[in-house]
Amino acid sequence: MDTKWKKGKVICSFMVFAIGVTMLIVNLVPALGIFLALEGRVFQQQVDYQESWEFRNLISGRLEELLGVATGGKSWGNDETGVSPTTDYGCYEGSAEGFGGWLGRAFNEVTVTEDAVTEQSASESAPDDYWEAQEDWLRHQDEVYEAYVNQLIEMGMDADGEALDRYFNSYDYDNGYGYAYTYASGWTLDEYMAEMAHNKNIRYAIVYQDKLLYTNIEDYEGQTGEAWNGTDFYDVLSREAYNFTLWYNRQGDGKVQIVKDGLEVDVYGDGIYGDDSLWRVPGYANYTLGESAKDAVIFLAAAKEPQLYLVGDYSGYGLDQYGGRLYRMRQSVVVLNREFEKRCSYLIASAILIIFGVLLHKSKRVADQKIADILGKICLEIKIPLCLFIFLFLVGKSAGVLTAMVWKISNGGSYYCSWSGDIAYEIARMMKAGGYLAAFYWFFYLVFLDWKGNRQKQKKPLIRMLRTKDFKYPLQKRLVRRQRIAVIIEVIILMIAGIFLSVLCLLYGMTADYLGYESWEWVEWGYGWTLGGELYGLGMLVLIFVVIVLGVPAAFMAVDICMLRRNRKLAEDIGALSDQIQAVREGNLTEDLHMEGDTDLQEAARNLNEIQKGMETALREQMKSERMKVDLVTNVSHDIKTPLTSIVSYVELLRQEQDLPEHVKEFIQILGEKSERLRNIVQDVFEISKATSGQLPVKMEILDMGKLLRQTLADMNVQIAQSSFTMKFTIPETPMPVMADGQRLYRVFQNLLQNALRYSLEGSRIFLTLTEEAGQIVVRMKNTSSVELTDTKDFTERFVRGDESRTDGGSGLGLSIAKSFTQACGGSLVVETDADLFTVTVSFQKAESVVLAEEEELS
Amino acid sequence: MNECVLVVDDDREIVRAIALLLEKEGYRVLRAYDGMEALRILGEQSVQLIIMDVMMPKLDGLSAMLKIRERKNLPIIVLSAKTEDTDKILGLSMGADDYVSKPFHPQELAARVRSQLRRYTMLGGIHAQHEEDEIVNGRLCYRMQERTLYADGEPVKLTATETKIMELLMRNQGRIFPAEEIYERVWEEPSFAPENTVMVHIRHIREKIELNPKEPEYIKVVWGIGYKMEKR
Repeated sequence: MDTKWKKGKVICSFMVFAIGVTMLIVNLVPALGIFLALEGRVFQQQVDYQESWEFRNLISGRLEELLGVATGGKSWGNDETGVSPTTDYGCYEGSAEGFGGWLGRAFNEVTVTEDAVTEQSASESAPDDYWEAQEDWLRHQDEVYEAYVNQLIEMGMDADGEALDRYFNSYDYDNGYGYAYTYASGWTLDEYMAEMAHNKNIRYAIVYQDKLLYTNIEDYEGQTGEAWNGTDFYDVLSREAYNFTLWYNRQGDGKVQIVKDGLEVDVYGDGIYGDDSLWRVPGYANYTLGESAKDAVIFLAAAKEPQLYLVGDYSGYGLDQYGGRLYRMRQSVVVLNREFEKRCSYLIASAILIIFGVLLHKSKRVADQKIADILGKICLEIKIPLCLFIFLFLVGKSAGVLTAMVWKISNGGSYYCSWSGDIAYEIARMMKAGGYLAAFYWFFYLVFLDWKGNRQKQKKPLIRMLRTKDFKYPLQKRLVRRQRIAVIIEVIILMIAGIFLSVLCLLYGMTADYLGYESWEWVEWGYGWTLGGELYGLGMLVLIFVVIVLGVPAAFMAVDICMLRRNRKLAEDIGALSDQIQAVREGNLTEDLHMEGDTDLQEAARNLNEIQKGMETALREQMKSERMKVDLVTNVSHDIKTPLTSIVSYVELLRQEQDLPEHVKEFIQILGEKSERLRNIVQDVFEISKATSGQLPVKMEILDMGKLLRQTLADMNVQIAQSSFTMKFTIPETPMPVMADGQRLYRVFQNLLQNALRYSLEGSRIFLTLTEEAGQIVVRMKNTSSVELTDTKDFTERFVRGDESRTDGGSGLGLSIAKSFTQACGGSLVVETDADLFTVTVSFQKAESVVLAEEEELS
Repeated sequence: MNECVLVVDDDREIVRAIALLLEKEGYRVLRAYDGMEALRILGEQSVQLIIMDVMMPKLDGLSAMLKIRERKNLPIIVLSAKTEDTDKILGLSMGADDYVSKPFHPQELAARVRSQLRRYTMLGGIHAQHEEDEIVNGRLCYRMQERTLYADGEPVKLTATETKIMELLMRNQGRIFPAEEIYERVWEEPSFAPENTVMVHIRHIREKIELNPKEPEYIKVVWGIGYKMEKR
């Protein structure tokens, strides 16, 4: 129950934190972007779109266009006037006034439409396949549009279903038509102007040489072609609905007068047109028009709240749409406001989540640890390429968006100052950028977790697997195998690199024309594909694949295999050499290593053979001298023992003599003691010589160190009780099994205790502890020495004692015997001195207690 | 009549010392200085026990012993300067009844002589006709009905606890008893680190039954495991 709750808490805390952070990053970028784009004018329902750069751009373009119309006559594209719509703003810009700026982008780039429309325009007599072609074209347009909408959805615009609907409905085919028509030059100016008149968002009137040429103000439409009497066109328009008016050359001064909300706008500033001038209209000192323009008077009025004007067109495409650009200009600002509000609410929500996450940071840390553990289980060989791939993928995907965003914002631009109308598109990109930033955040977060948690214990199973498997083989095979593996890995890496490179080449090759940030998207959309291109690309892919993926690795492999062959002989020789070293180590000193004369390692083999010979000789001599030593000690001790027997016996006889004077009895006592000591020394010397020459027979069995110590203490109980020392021993009841010879081990502790009893400071305490330390059974005996100890002395050396005078009863061999016996049983004995504190540590590997239990049962 | 002991050693001083010691104990002592001489004396006189060195000129102790064993069944104590277990085992397996290593303590040798002679002369037939309630192990014999331990045919004065320990060990010769088990079976109460208590009693028993309590032959410590009665 408790653990379940804990687990739930851990998961919750992490989810809260994760969602909070992701929401924050994703929403912060568009929120910031909108805020900057709208120059901080957010949270306003009544937004003045007329202050935007796009509006000014449109109006001045319109003015120029109408000037062109006024001065250019009936023929479209006339360039005789000072200003031509085709030069300064382009036919497209002018003619596609009714065209949505947002969708215009998509159209603008669809090359297919132009062809299709041209075909259509040329076939007024409707050939057989005309309607089919129409349908195809429409279907294609639908597809294009759908792809565009899909992309908008991808960018996050689906949040606003209404907006999407609007985009869909406002989609107008006729502008594509118009645009194409314009290019085809089949349209008369009258026809064009008639179309434009449908756009009631901009009211205009064109007067040339005091004659009203065109207008879409209803009250004056009947007067076209008649003389203009100088009336104000604005009088018949609602000042509420049309709050913006522009007059060109009303006073005959070739200047523009703009009135907005009843106030005149300062159009020219210092009168010089420059980069910072808001209005690009004629009338500046450095921007005047030709003579013909002096006869023109243009009136323009813009609606405060533009509408979308739809006109049924039953001859062709069902629905025509006009005035969309102004409409969308205003709508986009409204939408952006709403969008900003939404982003802000998300930001607040994410902030609350993050606060919760901070409150639960302890559980979150547990979750982090869990994630790190999971990541730690992935082996490094997978992790590194995966990281690299994800990182490169993210960078590749986001570079365009991020740099564009940074550029947009860092250039200090805004919607009101310089941006074109495609603001929603920009915001969608920003949202995309937010998404990428979040992805980056999580990528680095995971990398950081992994680095922090798994730096030390990173699994490398592949490498380790190869390595552990490696040791099964003899050296020569190992060397060959390693080279082989290296070749395989090399080839795999080359192949992966090749695939990556060829895909990269292909992608860039196919989209070379679109090498901008959108090139990837183009490929995704499939616009870059044509049949020819596809075939070409496929051919290229196959070619690149063959060359890079197969050819280069094959070449590398060939080279490596050649090298491998040459190295194999060397590997074999190294293997033989290593085997020989192994044999020498194991004691085989007689067989020489034979190697052919031309091998690289001939010298090494000869040297090894000589070392072998030298070792053999040395070993033989050492064994001989060792045997001689033991024989000598045996003989000497035997030869000492015989006379010693006589001495002991006669001392005993003397002791039994009656009527001896007191001092003689005392002498006899001394003789007895000294002969006893001599006996002990002889015995000890004999034992130590055997132990150090490795001839001490040991009977190893599993025994309990605790019991052995208690037995030893019990055995020496009388001695201890008679001494002035206090024994302090800590021997746990739990079994402490060791593998040793009990008899020898008893001698070890007997010697140690005797040593302590003999050399400790009068009245001091002797400490004996038994502990288990990391699989070792450790006996530690500490006592305070009665004489000052010298640090440099090795007390386990033969005949070394603390007191150099040698008048005590010891042989000087006690510790030496203890050490030899301990080592003979497979343990270790270490003597340490610290001032007068004398510490002996005897340690043995702990034996399997199971075996001991069985033994006890058997006995 | 006093028992006659033959002492054989090439070291005259040792022979003399042993002879003096044993004569003080009341034995009649014959002396020989090599194996051949020992065999000759044996052929001439009635000898109840032989003490013989191993390393001797003309005929070494082990060979002489083999020859003696062809005809006679008297106890032989072997003396040797070699103290290794293998030498001891070799000597005992070739017919020696006891083994004393040089340099020995004269009192110990005397005790061993006493022990061997007692068993040979007084209780010579003990092996053949021992009763059913007897447990025999070398010099020791435990009579269950009497609850008495005999060493070399003489009753040993043991306390009640000591008797209980000896009964337990004699009944299970060769088996290793952890100190806890001895304590629990003799004192009949749970034990806690009983090595010391058990050891005190064993020491006392050893002083009563062993010829050389410092090098016990019967009750042995199996270091790190427990205690046992050696089968002899």
